[in-house]
Amino acid sequence: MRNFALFLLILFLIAALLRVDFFFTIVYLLFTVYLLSRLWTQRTGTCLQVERSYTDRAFPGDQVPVDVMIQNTGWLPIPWLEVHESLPVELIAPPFHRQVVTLNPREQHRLRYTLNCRQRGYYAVGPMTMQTGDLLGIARRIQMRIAPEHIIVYPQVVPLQQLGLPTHSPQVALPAQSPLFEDPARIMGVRDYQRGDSPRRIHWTATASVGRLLVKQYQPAIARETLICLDLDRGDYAQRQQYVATELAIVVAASIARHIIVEEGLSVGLTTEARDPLLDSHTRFYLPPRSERAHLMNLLELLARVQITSAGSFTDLLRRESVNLPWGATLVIISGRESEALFDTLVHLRRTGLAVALILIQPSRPSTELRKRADLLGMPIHRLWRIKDLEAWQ
Amino acid sequence: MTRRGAWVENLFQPLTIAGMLGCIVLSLVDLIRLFAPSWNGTFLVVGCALAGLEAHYSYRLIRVKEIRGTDVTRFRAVEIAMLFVLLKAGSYIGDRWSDVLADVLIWPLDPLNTLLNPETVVAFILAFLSWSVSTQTVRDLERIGDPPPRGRGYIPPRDSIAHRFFSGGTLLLILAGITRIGIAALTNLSRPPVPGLVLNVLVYFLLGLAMLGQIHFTTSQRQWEAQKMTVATRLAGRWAGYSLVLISLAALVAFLLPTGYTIGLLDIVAAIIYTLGYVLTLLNLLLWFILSILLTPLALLFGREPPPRPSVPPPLKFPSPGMSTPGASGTAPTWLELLRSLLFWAAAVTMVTYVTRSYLRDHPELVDAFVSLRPIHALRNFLLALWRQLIGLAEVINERIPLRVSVRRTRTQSSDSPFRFFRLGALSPRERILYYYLSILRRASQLGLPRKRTQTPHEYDKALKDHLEQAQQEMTHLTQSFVEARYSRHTFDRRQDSQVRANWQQVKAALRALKRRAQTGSSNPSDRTSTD
Repeated sequence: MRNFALFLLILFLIAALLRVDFFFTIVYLLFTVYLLSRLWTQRTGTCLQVERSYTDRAFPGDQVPVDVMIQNTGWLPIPWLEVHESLPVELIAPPFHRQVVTLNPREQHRLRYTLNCRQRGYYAVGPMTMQTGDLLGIARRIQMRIAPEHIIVYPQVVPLQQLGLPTHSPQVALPAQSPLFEDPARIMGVRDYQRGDSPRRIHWTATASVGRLLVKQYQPAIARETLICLDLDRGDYAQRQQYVATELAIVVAASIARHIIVEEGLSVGLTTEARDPLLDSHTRFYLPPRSERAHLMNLLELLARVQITSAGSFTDLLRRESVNLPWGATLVIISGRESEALFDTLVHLRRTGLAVALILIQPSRPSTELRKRADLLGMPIHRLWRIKDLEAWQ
Repeated sequence: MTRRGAWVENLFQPLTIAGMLGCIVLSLVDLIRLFAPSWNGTFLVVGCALAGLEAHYSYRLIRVKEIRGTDVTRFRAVEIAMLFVLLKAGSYIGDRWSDVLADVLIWPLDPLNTLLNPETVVAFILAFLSWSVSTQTVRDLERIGDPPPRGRGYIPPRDSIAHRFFSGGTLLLILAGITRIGIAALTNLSRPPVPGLVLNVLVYFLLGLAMLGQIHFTTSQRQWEAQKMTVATRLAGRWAGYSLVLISLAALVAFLLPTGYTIGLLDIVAAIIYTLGYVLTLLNLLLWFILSILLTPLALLFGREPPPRPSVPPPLKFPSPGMSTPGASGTAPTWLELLRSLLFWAAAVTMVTYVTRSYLRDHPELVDAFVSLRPIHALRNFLLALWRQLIGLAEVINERIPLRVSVRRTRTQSSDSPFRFFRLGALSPRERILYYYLSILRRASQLGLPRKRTQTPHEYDKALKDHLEQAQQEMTHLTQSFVEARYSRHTFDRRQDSQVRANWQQVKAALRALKRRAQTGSSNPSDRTSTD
């Protein structure tokens, strides 16, 4: 009703011209209605408080109840309020919740729904748009937008008893037979100083008590580090099974990571190039190998949100990130395609002292030459087509 | 349709429309009575209201029964004929039965003067208009929530109904106003205000507001239904309740605000200026009075007449009400009238300002169109240019004044320098060493051997030593001492100070000799020695 103000002005003009007192009362009546409607509507916008409460992390198959509390914090009632909550279609159908509510002063309204976490991902819960207005349609409607929050659905994790991944280092963390690596935190004993020993190793207390130079002997130790290299390059997967294959690759990566950290107590890292929905851009991820549970959760969060991309080169990624790894570390490469370039890179990585395992997801049949080359390399190559294949490792 | 919805559609809407139509016709009847006081127009008011009511139901009946084509025309013809008959019958209300019968008997003989007399024709036209307005309104009500048709010129049903309400309200005010003041007094702008309640106007606007609220609710509800939104069950009840509260509150405020004024807006402004002037005069007089009291003893001391005391100003006079309302303000004091008028104009100006501002804010296209008018555009450009000039001028003043002040301050300081008292002994040893070196720099600079900006102290030392044949070592010591004093945290004692002072004096003497040599053009070393 855009002309109400004009009508008011005309009425005031008539009242002023005719000088009938009661007409001014009528003008006041309409003006007060106009004023109150506008002020009331404007006030409503500042007196709304919205709070979503839900668990923001879930595993596939979980049902996450969401409780949205809309409260009128003001002293004026809100006669009507359109509430529209946008939700991801992967988690709920229909992907929106629409309601019209009315709130008395200090009253609150609860909106409840359940998210069915069927698929891994990083999803926005919201935004919630709200619209309200006056009772007579005089004032303009006002819209409010409540920023979205997010929920992470972790990828599916298949428990593995034994991976059978190759390694140069011992399966058990400590101690190691090879004296190449020593842990300075674990002193095994002392021995006489020999020429060439580092002065740092001198045990000064023992030297003082014995009267000759003694050096510390450390326990030889080595921790197996594993880096999972996940290929999410669109070009490395068959076009038909692209979605299924990349999802399976992510499940494999998550399962291996969980197994190494939880079952073996060893450290694992992850590197991949993928599209990040948070930044909405192509990003290179690198989580250095660590063995804490919290690290596993970080790793799963990352795997939850990464998406297939067209940019980047997987072999470049392998070469670049393997530089950071110590000698003897294991590289678990998850890809969808075996190629000449990939094998070249693998040979290079093996020469640098890294153990390499290749897991191929729904691969196409390799050429005879490639197969021969793989046999010559003598590296374990696992081929997976379904999640059940992964379970077969158990 | 819910039970509440049925009640609204079957009872509330038709009764409201009929009531509003009746209110307008009532004012029209009152106006006609000014010319024909003996005419009884009650039947017309009732007839028009009933026509509005009937139009509502007949329209809905046609829709429900799905009557189409010629059947609709036939239905409408019968309806209008019945309306005419009822109006004609209504016009006989209050007449004696024998007169009615006699009139009916004359109908076939002289139909133009009896059956279609002006009263009947006017009444029929008014009733038909009421019927037509009601039909259009109910059609609009039915259209609410329908998707808009393609093509331009579409007016949403809500706007159409609101427009009808506004037009009816304007017409009603004009009719009721003319009826109250009389046609003869229309051109008299200095006529007194007309007090009293105009019930039909109040009823019209209250019903109209209620109708607007209900239509807004229906529109919103149909939109929500179309979007398949879940609507709170108590929403309708609360909507009605809050609307009632809002309108009641507005009515309360409206009845509390002053409506009449006896002093015009310009008179009010003049009164305010006059009051301010009066207060200033009083203050002035008070000041003079205090001064005269203070000066009286002095005047008496010198044997003169004491200064005259200021006379008391005449009492404050408020502008007299030009148009007093009989009864209401006849006995009220002037200041009360002024206050009342002041309140009225304050409320009116606030209201007009707020409404105009809101209207322009809601219609930015109007502002744009206004600004784009050629004369307005030119005026705006001129004002903008003027503003820029003023801003530029202000910036120039802002820059130049501090500059001038600082220049003057510098000059003042430099003029002070010949008389400035500088005591070397008051400085610390470190400061003194710095002073010795800087003094040499200044003196060398005066001789045309200034230190370049890029030269370090040691580089400058090498450069200067070429000109100081007898104080080369001293200059080097002085430079080293300066560097130490400038960049180290060592403490310097009196002994070091005196050593540096000796070096400084040597170098100073060498420079003096150089100066003399430059002035005389002599290169005799004995001269140089003698000067030292």
